[in-house]
This record gives sequence, structure tokens and C-alpha cells, in this order.
Amino acid sequence: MISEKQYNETVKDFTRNVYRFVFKSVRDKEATEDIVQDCFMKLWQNRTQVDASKARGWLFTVAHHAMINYLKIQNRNTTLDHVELKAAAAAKLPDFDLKEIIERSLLDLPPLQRSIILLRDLEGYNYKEIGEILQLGESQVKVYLFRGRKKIKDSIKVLSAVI
Amino acid sequence: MKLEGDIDELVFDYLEGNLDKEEQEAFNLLKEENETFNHNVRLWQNAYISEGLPETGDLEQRLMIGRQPGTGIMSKVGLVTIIVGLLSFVPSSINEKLPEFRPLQEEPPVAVIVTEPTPVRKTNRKEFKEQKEQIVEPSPSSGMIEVSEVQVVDLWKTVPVTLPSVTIKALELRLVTERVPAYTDRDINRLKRRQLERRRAGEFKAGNIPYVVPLSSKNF
Repeated sequence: MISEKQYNETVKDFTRNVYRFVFKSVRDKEATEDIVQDCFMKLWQNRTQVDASKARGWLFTVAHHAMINYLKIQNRNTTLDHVELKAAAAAKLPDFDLKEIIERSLLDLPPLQRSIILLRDLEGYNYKEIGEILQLGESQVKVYLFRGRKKIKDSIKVLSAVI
Repeated sequence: MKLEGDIDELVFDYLEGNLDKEEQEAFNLLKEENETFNHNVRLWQNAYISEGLPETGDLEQRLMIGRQPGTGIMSKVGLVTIIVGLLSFVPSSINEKLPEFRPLQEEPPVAVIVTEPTPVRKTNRKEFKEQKEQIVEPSPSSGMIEVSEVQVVDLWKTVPVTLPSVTIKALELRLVTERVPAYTDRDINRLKRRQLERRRAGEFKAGNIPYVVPLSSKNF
């Protein structure tokens, strides 16, 4: 059960974390704000079922699912845009710095691998906590994390060689 | 200790902190000895993401329950305004001293009738009644003078038998005049004629009426 005070504290403490987590995948400010608002609205609606100490993880679970739903809809509508973006990015290759390469590589990852990397690197969760948030086993988390990181590393390697 | 397995997996485990102390020492040794391996480790290290928390603006305020945007100073100012507004309705001795509230409306014209004591003389009752009506009530046919408040002294009740002579000393009247357009029959006819000419010109312009050459001896 979450009281009003606890809810407000959760908002104060974790809004920016959830926002960063969603924005890394969505890359759209308005859409990110909508998803974050939805997450907190669901938290308030389910306040009787959620433990205050687990609110953070619960928020990331909801945010992950909301983000995947959003990306599914976006992929249906803007396949062409994505292709154009990639072309534009390729054209701008010489100006890429390391951070931008990582961002691009991150966007090319499957959503699940991306979420695992973000939860691990930005939020500092361990394998077990990530597994609870994303409803996966520890070993699965580890495998996905390894695959995701390897893809980013390979992208860096390839693009660094090109530059 | 000998390190076994895929190099990538090894580096991953090292960076994730999954290796025990002995394995870590062996790994560090290998890293120092082998430059290619060291380069590979650096690539793996770059694959880690680090970023600070973003600014979410007023999103937090919007998400909070029981707090609305514009809290703080503005809410206090609003509260003070409401309290001051409510205090104005509380009756107090200060308010009693203040001048009487008068609505900002145009004051109705007032006819002031001043009576003076005059020598008593006998008057016919019917005659007096007619006289009173004549003074007090304005003729409805005129319509130009509005007397909404008239102080009427019922003298008949106070002085049943003898009637004093009533004289109007001062009359403060406001005349309400309406502006009636001073159109005479001549003006109206002229306006009608112009209107007709204008309509005909419009029809002619639109090509509804053919131009007829006026009959004249010069045309033949």
C-alpha cells in the first residue's frame, strides 16, 4: 500500500530516472513524458497492490512495457523514417563521436537488451533485480546483457575503424 | 591460474565483476602483456553507458498529488486576497462610519416639493384632490419627463378640514430627451429615390436591363 506522501516521494525520487530510461529508447520528449505520466498514473491506480519499497522496480516494469508498446506502434508507422534516419546518420559518420556511436548502437539493439543495459548501467541494478523487473531469469539477463554489450562493442570497433 | 573460455566472455565477466580474485590477477597480467587484448578490453569498457539525470522541468509537479502548479508564493497571495475579500463582508464599526453605499447608476430625476405654512382657508375637497393630482403626477402623454421619486405629503389626512395652499418652490428635474431623426417626408422621398436609382444602376451594371437610348430628335 502506498500513501499519498509515499507516492509524492516516489515521484520526486524516481521521475527523472524513469524519464531517462524511457527517453533512451523513445527519443521523443513528448512521447516520453506521456509514458512517464502513464506509469505514475498506473502506480497511483494500483497503490493498494504495490509495496512502497518496490515502487521503483514496479515503475521500471511498467515503463519497459509501455516503451515496447510505443515502439511497436512507431515501427508500424515510421519504417521509412527510420531508414532515412539511418542514411542521414551514415552520411554524418565523420562527425560521430564515441557517445553518439554508443547512442546509435543502443538504438539498434532489441528493446529487451537495451532495457537490460540501461537498467544495469544507469540504474545500477544487479542481475536478480533486472530479472524481477523484466520477468526474466538471472542467467537470461546475463546472456542478454552480454549480447547487447558485445553488439555495442562491435559497433564501436567497426565505426572507429571507419573513422 | 589459467584463463579459459571465449575472450569476449572473459572480458565481460571481468568488467562485470564476475571473476574471483585469482582470475582477476591472471586477467590483469594478460592485459599488461598483450596489447591486442588490452585494446579489446578498452573497447569493451567503452560499451558501458554513463549519463546524468535529465531535467524534467515541471513534470514532477504535475505528477504529484495534492499539489498544483502555482503553489508557494502565488497560493499565499491568493489566500490573503480571499481573506481580505471575505473581511469586507463582515459588519464592523468601521464600516458603519463609512458613507452609505450607492450603486453607480444614473440617479432618477427627483421632484422636490416644498410646502410652506400658509393661512388657513377653506377649500372644496374635490377641488383639492384634482389640484394634487395635477401637481404630483406627470402627464403620461408627454413622455419626456420621468419622475420616479416624488415626495407626496398626504395633507388630507393631516389636515382633514382646512387645506393649506401648496406651492412648488423648487423643482429639480432632469429632462430625458430622445433623439428623433428629423426626417421629413421630403427627406424620405429623396432617400427612396436614391435607393431606386442605385438599384437600377446595379441591375444595369449586371446586364439585366438593356440600355435604352432616350428618344430625342438628335438621335434621328
